[in-house]
Amino acid sequence: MPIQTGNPATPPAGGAGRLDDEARARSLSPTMLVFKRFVRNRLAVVGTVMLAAMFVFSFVGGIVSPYKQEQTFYKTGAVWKEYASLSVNAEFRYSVDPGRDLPTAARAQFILAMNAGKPDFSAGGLDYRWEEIGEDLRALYGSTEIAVGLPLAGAYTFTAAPGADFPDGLAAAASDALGAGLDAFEWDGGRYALARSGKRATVSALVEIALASARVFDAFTPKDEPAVAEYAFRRAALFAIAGGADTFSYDGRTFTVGAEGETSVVHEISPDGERTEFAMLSPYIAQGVTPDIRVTVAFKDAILDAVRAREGSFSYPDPDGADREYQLSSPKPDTYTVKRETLTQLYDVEARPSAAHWLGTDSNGMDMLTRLMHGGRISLMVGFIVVLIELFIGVVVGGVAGYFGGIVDLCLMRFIDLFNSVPQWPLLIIMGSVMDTLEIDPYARIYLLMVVLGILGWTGIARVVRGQILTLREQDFMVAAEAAGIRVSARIFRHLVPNVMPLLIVQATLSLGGIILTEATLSFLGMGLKYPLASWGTIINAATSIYTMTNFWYLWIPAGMLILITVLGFNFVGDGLRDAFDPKMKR
Amino acid sequence: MENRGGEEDLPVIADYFEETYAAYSGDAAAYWETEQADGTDVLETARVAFIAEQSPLDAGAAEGGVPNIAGIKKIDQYTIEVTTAGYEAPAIYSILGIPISPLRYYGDPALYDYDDNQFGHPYGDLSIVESKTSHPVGAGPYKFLSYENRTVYYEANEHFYKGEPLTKYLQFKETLNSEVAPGVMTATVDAGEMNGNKSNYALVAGYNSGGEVTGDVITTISVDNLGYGYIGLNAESVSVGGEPFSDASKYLRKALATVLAVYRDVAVDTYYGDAANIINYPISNTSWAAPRTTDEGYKLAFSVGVDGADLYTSDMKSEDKYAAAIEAARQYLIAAGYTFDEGTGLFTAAPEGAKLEYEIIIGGAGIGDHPSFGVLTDASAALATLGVTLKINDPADTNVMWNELDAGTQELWCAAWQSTIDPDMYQIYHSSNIVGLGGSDSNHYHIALPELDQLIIDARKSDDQAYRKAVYKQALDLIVDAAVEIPVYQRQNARLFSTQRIDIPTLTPDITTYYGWGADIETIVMSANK
Amino acid sequence: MWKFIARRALLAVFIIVFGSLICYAVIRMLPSSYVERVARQRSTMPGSPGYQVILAQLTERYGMDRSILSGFGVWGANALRGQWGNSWFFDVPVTRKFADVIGYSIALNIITLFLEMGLCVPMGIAAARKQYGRTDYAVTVIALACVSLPVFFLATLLKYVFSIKLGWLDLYGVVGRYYQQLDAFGKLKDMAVHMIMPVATLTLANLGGLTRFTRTNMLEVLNADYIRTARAKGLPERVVISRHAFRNTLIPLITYMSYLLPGLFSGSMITETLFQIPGIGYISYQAMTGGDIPFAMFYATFLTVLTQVSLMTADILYAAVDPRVRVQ
Repeated sequence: MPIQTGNPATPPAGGAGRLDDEARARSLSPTMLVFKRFVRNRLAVVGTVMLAAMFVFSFVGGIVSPYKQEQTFYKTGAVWKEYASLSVNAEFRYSVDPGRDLPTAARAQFILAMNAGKPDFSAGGLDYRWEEIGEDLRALYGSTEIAVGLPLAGAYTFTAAPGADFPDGLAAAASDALGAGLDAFEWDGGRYALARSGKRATVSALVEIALASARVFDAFTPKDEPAVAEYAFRRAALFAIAGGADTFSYDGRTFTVGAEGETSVVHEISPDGERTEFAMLSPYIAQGVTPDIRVTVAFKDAILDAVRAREGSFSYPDPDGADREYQLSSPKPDTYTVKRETLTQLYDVEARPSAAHWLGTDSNGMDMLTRLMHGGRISLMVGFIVVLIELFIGVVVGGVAGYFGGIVDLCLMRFIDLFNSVPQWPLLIIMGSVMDTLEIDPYARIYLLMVVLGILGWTGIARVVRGQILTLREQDFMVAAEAAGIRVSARIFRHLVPNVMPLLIVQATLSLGGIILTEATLSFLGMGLKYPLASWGTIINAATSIYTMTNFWYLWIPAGMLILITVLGFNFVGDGLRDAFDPKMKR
Repeated sequence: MENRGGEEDLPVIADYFEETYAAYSGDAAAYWETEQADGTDVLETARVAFIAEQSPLDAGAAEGGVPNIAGIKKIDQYTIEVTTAGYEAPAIYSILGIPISPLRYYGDPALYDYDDNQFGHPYGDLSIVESKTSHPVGAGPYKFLSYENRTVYYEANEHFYKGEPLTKYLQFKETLNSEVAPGVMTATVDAGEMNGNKSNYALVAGYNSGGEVTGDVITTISVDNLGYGYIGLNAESVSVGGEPFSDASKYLRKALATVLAVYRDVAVDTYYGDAANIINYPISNTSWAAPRTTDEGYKLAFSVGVDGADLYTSDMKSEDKYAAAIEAARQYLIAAGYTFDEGTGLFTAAPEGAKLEYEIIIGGAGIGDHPSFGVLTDASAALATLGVTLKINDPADTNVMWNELDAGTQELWCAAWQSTIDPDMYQIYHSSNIVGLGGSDSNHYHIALPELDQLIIDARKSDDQAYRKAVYKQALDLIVDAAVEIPVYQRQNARLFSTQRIDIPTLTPDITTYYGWGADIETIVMSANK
Repeated sequence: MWKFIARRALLAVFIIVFGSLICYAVIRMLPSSYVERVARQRSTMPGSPGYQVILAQLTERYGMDRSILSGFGVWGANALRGQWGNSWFFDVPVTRKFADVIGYSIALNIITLFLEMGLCVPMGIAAARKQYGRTDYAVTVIALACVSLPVFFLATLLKYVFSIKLGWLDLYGVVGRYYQQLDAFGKLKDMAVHMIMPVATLTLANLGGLTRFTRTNMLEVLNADYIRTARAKGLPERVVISRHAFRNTLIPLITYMSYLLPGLFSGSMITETLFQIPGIGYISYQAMTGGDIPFAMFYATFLTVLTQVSLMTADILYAAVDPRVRVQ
């Protein structure tokens, strides 16, 4: 059927001023009409361009971008890390004879026995005994019972333990010691302990296992370290100190030991009388955090100086001569942590825009631009599809309800009410946890999410459509349509609904922005997108604090702008469509 | 049976023992299988059960009741002596944790006569106390006035034993975590506590004109958090051949643990910088029993290979460390019985009882909001290069994680422990507390080592701190060797105070993890009132 | 007319009952219920008998062991008698907790509503009158910008500008620090000052909707024939708009407003959390998602009743406003 095109005042196309049938017969289909009017509307075109730009940005950009959306980027930064630690030694440290073994269980029992004042203790089925040699020196022995003695008229008769060797000379020495009331005695180069319980006396053979000292050994030069670690050396040194001697010898070498305050310094005297510093005993222990770090005596002294001066930091030259800063802190009394600036790998979080990252990186170290592109795919898809679902269901239900009125209207409206009384949040939580349990693929979750959002949102549209149709239903053009015998469905959807279009378009536009943001809130609460997938909404949500908002504009402004452009574009297109459909428009 | 002068014969412990013995036909093993065994002796167990069962049946006891408890004695106005049956280290804190309540409020001073066994209320009738449930008042420095408008209102308590607080009114306002620092800056609040991470410190430093965390606007005092974050491995579900503590199983867990442990640094350094410590033993650094770097035998967590050699040196670059860790893991897995294909560089088969894919649950609320999340992502990618899959499960509802922990079906998980003052490990590491065995159900690792159990009991019973420290070091070494826990980090809590409105010198001196800012709250004076 | 109302009321009752049932069923089906949470909490305390034991006790005490229908029946029977029970979370009677918190939400909502209407309707009309003019563009962009940003962003922005940078207002809170010492009028003023930012946030968030709606409606109407007639008759534009145009935009407006009454009683969870306002938004969210059945059911039923009442009113108003509908 021929329809007039545009303003009757303009001459028909093709031929100037001809008014014959040919010219009039040229017609355009309704769709073309709408399209032409739409295209003439500048704003609508702008809106279309904006939308197209968003789609291109998201779908094409995501392919073009060199980075993956969950790719984390690293950078190197300087962090003060623990390098060594110094503490005032309050515990006993053990030097163990190389041929013997002092298990940790025995050490623990030793502490218990020492604090309780009992000389004998046992661990792991073996017996031990400790003796005090000097103020902070204890000797630990393994003790084996070799004989039991019973007194008989002042003298003791001993019965040897099975398998033990108890010569007469030893027995005699034991008797003498018992008579003298001693606890231990020496005989033939070995040490023996005596224990009395009532009348019985037990003789035990002692074997030296370890020395426990509160002093810590440090060698001055690396070449002397093996010697300083030798048990025999330490024994000699410690006994000398405990005995108050000035010199002692070890391995054919001569050493002198002298106290300087709370430390004792051991010097080696070479055959021609030269004194060289050899070792130091002090109450301080310093150790590096990994075994390869060697804490020299000089470094230790530097730390102690800083501690005494109550400094927070000090500097010390590196092996290659350059001075290096160290930080000192005291997390617990008598413990000092030395930190050194080390270059270490860090996540490149919140990096400023640069050539490598045009919009910087987010708070997890991922490229912002790539995430915006991939996020755009999801946001746009979710937004448009949900709007379409909502519109479709809403128009159908609202249209049918509004048109038929009466019982149908009643039922459908009440159905909508029931729908609305379902509490949203619990339902979403249930869905979220069901999806978690079924371990649904993250992308499938998005589709399910869209369906759910659409189903929850159609009621508003239905009501608006119904309300409008209630009014329009009685208008003349509807009466005419009925009189013309047009089918009911055609009447509803081809005549009524297009007149509801303007309102629908407004609703749809507003919903679009809201849906994108609702999806973000749901993802924030864990019911939607799973990390590390992104959408525009979740990107904005990630910049939650005032600090992030004000210091890192690139974390949220781009995403916000993109959403705004999309919503604006959709809005302009909607306006354009509405005007294109309405022949009574001024323009 | 013993006749106590009453009507009927009452049972004594000997009877109870006879009964129990007969019930189990003298089978000690069966008895201990069924009854709760925790290392205490039979007599004590019997006595406790006896009292629990028989005391309600004792006619004489029910009537007038017991006049007083012999073990609780008042010494003077400020001292009470409590005698316990036996020594257990954590018991001290339980007893000392009982709050002190004022008599004149909760009781009736007229009814108080200590020597006559009258303690301020009629016997068996606590209605005076119950009536005050909705108006709790303690013996503290401030009195509760009301809770409205999301603010708790307090007023100074003039009867406080240290003297009436110098600042009359105190309010606690509900605040969002991220708004503590801005709140102090804008004078909405005067003091608060915030998480000690890098961006928070930067925020506070930005407010002070000197650019430091303590300045003219805000004063910051940082203390270690009482607790630490960790990654746990379930010894039963991550094992080889159904034997949780065989060498093969330990190798398997150590392989996973070594890779996870090496990636701790990146995450902690990025988000916390200097403000958090990476810890190496499953105990909080704030505890006195925590091993120090200077202790003998101190090692970084999971820094040793199959052959016992150290993996890392101090000058290694991060990439080198990762490579070393992956190589060590590969060797651990081969030692555990996994089949390695040299051609593809991947593991193709797992031994009996083990798998090539394990799941780790993390409570990130579905959005990866957890400091350890980065560790998991990196470790997962690294293990994938060996053909081993570490699947990360971040459920939206954290209860999913707790449900699995309760059922004992989890494989690996991320969580944090809150420490107590006493380092007693019984609740968490003793085998009787494995989930489902009727104990505390806190042993999520399912660790059951008899040696460890004995050490824990030994340490619990002693009051010698040096001894306990040595025993706990042994216990910690056992736990690390069993590879059931990877301690991750220990962060700080920052206490913020407004320099402008609070007279800072009047604050509690020496604020530490255990001695909070409120300990000397009665001395705080506001600047306006100086 | 009366038959219509009576039938409508009967239906409303039916809706209320079924709506509550659905609500109850959904909350019961939450993956982790209130009793489970409490049991878990209590099982971590020293000396607890273990999670399973506590769970069994609590399930029985809170009646969670009944089936959904019978549980609903019990609740419903009590509700009819006016016994709404005690809130599980807050341990006070449900009605008391509700009364405590609803005041703030209502105040917020009413002020926002007036502000909105005062701003949006004139803006929408102004935009419609000069379609595609500069006013139209400006209004459109502002309205859509407000819709495109999440609520908490608007709130944070306001907080940053007015509290941190300018220092005029407190960062959050519904009362100031000297509230207790003020007299009645001072207290009112204090609260009012603290409500400025929340109200601004809510208004901005809802700006887009009503403005665009009004604009579209006006556009529709302004192009109708009877308006052209009125103009042709020489009526002043002001009369054309207010007397002829506006009335015809009323039906969609009534639809829009029919959710007003229930809307007054619901709160915005995000705004309340951000400004620490003890309103119904956050409380109801907690109750719904945490499985506090007495409170959640009371609130849901309350809202359903209100919705039904306002819908009924809307239906009646349709008939009153549009004579064509009456004929039905």
